[in-house]
Amino acid sequence: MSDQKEIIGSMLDDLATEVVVLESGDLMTYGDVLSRLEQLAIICDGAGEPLLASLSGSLKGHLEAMILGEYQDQDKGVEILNQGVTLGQSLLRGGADSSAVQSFLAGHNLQAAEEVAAEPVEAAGQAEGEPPAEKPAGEPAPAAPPPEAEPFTPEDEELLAGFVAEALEHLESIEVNTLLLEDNPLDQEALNAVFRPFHTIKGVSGFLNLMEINHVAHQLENLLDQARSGGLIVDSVAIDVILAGVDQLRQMINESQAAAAERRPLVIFDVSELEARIEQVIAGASGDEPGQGDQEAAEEAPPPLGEILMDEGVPSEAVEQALTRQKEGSMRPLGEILVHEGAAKPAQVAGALKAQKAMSQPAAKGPAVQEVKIDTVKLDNLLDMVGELVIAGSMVRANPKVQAISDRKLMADLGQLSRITTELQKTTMSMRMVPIKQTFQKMVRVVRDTAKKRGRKVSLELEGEGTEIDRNMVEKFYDPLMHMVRNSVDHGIEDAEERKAAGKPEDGTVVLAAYHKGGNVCIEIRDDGKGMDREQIIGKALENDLISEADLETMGEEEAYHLIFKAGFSTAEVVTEISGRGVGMDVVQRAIGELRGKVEISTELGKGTTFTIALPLTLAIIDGMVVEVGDERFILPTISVAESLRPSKKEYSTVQGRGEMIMIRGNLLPVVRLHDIVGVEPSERNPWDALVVVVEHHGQMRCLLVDRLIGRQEVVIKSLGQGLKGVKVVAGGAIMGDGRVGLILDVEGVFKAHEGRRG
Amino acid sequence: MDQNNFAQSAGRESVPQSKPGSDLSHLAGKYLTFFLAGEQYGLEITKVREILGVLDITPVPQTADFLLGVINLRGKVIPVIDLRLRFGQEYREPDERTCIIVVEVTERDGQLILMSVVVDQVNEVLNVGAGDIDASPSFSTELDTSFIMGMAKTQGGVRILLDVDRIVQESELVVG
Repeated sequence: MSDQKEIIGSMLDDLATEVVVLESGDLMTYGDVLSRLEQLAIICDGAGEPLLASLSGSLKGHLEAMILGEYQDQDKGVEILNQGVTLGQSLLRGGADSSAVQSFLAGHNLQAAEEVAAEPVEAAGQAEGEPPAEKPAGEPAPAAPPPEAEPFTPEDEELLAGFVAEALEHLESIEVNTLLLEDNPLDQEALNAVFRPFHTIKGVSGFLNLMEINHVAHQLENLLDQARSGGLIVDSVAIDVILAGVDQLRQMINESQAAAAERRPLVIFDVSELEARIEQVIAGASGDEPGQGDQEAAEEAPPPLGEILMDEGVPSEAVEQALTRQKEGSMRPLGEILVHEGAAKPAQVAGALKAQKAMSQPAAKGPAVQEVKIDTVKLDNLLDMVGELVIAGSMVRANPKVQAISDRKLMADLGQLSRITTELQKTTMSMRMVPIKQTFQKMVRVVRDTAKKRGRKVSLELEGEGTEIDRNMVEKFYDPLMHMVRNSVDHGIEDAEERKAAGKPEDGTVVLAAYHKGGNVCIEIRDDGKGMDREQIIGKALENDLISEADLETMGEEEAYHLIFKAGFSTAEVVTEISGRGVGMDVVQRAIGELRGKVEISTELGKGTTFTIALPLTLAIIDGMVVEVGDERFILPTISVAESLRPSKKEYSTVQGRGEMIMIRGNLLPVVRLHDIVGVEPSERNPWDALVVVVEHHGQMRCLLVDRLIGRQEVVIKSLGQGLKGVKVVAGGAIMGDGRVGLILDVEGVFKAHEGRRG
Repeated sequence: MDQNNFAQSAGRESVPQSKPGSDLSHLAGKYLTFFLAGEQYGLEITKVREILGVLDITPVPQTADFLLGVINLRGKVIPVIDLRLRFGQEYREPDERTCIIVVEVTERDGQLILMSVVVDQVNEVLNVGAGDIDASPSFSTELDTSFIMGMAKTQGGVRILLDVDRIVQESELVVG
């Protein structure tokens, strides 16, 4: 179910991007949006999201009316569409309910759309508790097969599941390689890498009797076969078609899985348009000569040795002289002449030759790494056990009786044991890590599509793709990253004219960089666009009542930029005015917060913006500060700890005898007595006898009163289980060095509990 | 027998309660019996994972009194419920006989989870025949008997057969 939700979510997001940039009167895009809405309605219906299905049905009707010219004010029509899609997004994410939909539909007089969307609306009624008798839950809406269609029951479900998983992986690799192909249309390697998986998908789908998938894959395979035999140059039109085919196949493959799981008939997708496009590309190609491509290939040839040597600092006159000599009849290679004349050192020439060779071999591949797929539960168990092994080992060593033995052999063996266990722990940890490369590569497509829609040229540069990140994190990180990359292209990069006027190259650049920094993985999204206008953002925030005038005085430089992450900042107007980075940045912020990450913004008006996301290396481990209160130890995430100190008596003050404050470098910070919140009897009650840890969360600072600071430690986070999920103060447990459980505090929960006490 | 198994797995609402004469034969089987405040109780042996001595328990804030905290079970963190407190009896300081019984229970959402309960003393594993089981008598409304599957009459006296799934499912662990 959640899979389907994800699909719907991404469809909605795509739709939102498209609608946001929709020009009124652009019939081509209208059509595209229309078919998207239709698909959305079908999928939502199938996924048991009757409200969404109804909403998209109504929107579809509305758009049809617009296309037919029944709607006078096209601009307003687009605006309504925009609001509808935004509503759909919040509906999916639980931010709106049926009443919001009803009032939206009623407010814009969208009931007229009812006849078009008759079925979905009926489905909405179903959700409200009036089940129409003849309508089984999963029945697909408009494009459904005739009633006699039988439920989709593949003969071998296991085979189907295998096919789905494999095919989706194939499609991913196709996507990546297709984009490589776009940069270098004659790259046979890439061509083959796109061709082969299509072939596999075609074969297996035919075997499983998924004829639709089989047909599309077959056509695409034909197209690529043409390209392989040189009869067709893969230009951007062909790339578009291939990518559209990939999207279509993905949808159909997901659908086949969903239909099999729910034992309902397959939804038949209308692929005629796509097939016509493929035919067109194949037909258009047959007459063409591949001449232009050769020229391009020639340009790709490695630079001559002389050029490389000149870059290395060999005087250009010397190189030219040597070249003339070579032409005059000397049979010796250029490098040799240069060394002979004393113009270049042998090491320089050797280096240049190596460089030349590297350039002529496109991305030499290392030996293939063999991989095994393992159930993550097994991996987690292994991790638990290794953790216990480390603790058991240290307990043996700490045993006073063992320590009393003065035997060199025993000491050496114990040392060896602990080295092995530590190494073992490191290895098990690293099993959870994957390079970020795959996630980054998916962004190439995102940038391409978004840029295309906006009619801009934007190139994406990737840095540090080899950086490793927790595999669980990769999945959760994908959506926010995509959103931010899209935003950079959409709102960060200016239009070509604007760029030219500002003296920048016409093509925009977005750089995605990943690197390690201080126990974190940092991911940068850097654009060379127009930057963010602080005044405009503040103006917008004031207008939307996100802040008050009073807040302005205390607002720091960066804090202002962070306003874009506030819910409610992203209104439709903001986007159309292109004044800020709107769409759903609050969602991004939340998702990154859930990964215990932080976002920083640095921007220069006119120069560009850089978002830096700092994420923990892994979700499994937290870098913590261990503090003691009474007999209990608690762990605070180091990322939220600003400093710790023992305040003097005069820095401490109270308000009305209750609200406690401590003055730290001119700032009055409220005191949170941790012992009250966790219900432990502390050994110190006076702040000047105890210790204060300054903790920061979402820009709020508080002083946590603790007895003692024990130290910094990396701990493995363990869930306390379903039953204790409701404990907001605690984020999880960790096994401490003595084998006891220490509790990891949730800073937000602690702050809330503190506020609850005060109020 | 098949039908009984089905009834058991299909959910607890089908477990007979305080209805004299209803069929309790599916409750027959092996039980781990233990002492708690002078009474003897039994837990289905199939639910019991292991028995531990008293461990260091880490208390968790914002939880009910009867939730003593969490323990480290070989790298896994699991909650500990004090059965005395759960049944509204007086707390007793643990001694060398006090035990923690680790049980595998079914959560409301059908998930299997590990939990543990503190009891005064573990007694024995007892084979309870179908004929020895009575339904739990109805007491006054103040006494909650919903955790009781039945009463086993044995030579050593009456053992109260506990429905441990229900104890966990119906315990509101988190407060405030």
